[in-house]
Amino acid sequence: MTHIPDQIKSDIRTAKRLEYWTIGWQASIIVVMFLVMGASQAMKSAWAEDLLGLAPATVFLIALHFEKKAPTRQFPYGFSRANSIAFLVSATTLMLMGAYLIYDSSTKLIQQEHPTIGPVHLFGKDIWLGWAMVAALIYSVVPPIILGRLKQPVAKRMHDKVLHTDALMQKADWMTGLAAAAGVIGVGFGLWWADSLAALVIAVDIVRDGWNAFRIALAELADGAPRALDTNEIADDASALKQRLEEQFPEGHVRMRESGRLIMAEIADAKPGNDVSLERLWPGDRKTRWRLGAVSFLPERARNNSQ
Amino acid sequence: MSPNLKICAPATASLLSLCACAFPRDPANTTQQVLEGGHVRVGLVAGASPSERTIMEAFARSVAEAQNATPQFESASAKHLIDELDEGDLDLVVGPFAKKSPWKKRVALTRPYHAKNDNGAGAPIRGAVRLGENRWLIDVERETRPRGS
Repeated sequence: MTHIPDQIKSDIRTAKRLEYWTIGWQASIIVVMFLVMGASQAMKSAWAEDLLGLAPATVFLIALHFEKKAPTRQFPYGFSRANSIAFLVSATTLMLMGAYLIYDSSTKLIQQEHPTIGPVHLFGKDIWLGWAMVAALIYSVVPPIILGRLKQPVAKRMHDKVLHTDALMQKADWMTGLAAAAGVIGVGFGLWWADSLAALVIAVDIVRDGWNAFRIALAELADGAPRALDTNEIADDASALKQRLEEQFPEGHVRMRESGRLIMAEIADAKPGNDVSLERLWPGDRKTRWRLGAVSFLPERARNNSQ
Repeated sequence: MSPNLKICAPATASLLSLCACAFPRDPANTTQQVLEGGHVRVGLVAGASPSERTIMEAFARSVAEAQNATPQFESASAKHLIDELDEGDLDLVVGPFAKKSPWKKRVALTRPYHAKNDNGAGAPIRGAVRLGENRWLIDVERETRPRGS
């Protein structure tokens, strides 16, 4: 139950490759952005978002490593929730970073600080550093657009929350890049506030990213019902499963929770018949059967004790 | 990537040449005021040796010349001059500023002026302009380089 289901093994390989690509590209973006960051507040925010963009990819790869591990005596349920724990940590970081950037750029707006973006000496000429910033931002926009698009369908098939959030964050990344570029160009037109304003918009977006990830991770860790990937609603396949189980065991009480990408169902006050199998209980088609990790039955007394 | 680059590189280059004069602009219009008024209000940090003072004046003169303007000098303590710069009563302060000068938070410092101090020990001569006056900073900084480089 803790091992990776066969049906999604090839998707996992794809996802892994995409995440390694993400880390590689993202690292190059971080270096380029750092080199031209200067005193621009918008660049600072965009850079922070790029830096934090590494988190989901890293969390995904680490979690995958744990997911492969067999349960141990200390962890008899396996490690499929490792990603939720890691996710919670990175979501918290994201929110704190965003909050700091909101504070930082709004104080600069209030104090009316004029961002200084001077010249750089490149190829024997003095060039305004702002142009280098815009070029770096354009570079930073391209890989996330492509990688984010490639990740979304894979994340859906794998029911992977980390990968899905990662794809969404990359989708937001290009907006960030454009907002920062607009801020820098605004400064070029003598609009000193454009830079801090762009930084503020980006920071709000970082907090929003963090909040979404935080909510998703928390729902799983608090044994919430399985959520759909893109909303906080209960997942369709989980609702269908609940209905099926309630039909099959009308006297029982059905509860579900999510462990990593698997649904764990529990039926209290019911006895499993002799011919119960996960294949038969799963309402969806065989390709998605792996989603149902386990069905547990609780005798009446046990349920009463647990309440 | 490569078709993007093919379009972006010439586009950026033409943008660069197009905007070379007017872009970036100063939020407080220092460059424009210098061009229209025909003079640069320069503060020279007091306490420099005579040879340093000559270098500082030469730097300020070349900045003014580049704008077809004449320099108007005054001399006072760095603190006083930087307050004036902040208020917009000066366009440029010239003096010995270390790379990690504490004034860095309040003004934008240029690179060191190319002529060496003859004592060689003190902080290099730099220009200081108001924060955010990016066009002006570029124009002043250009004069820190020896001609023809």
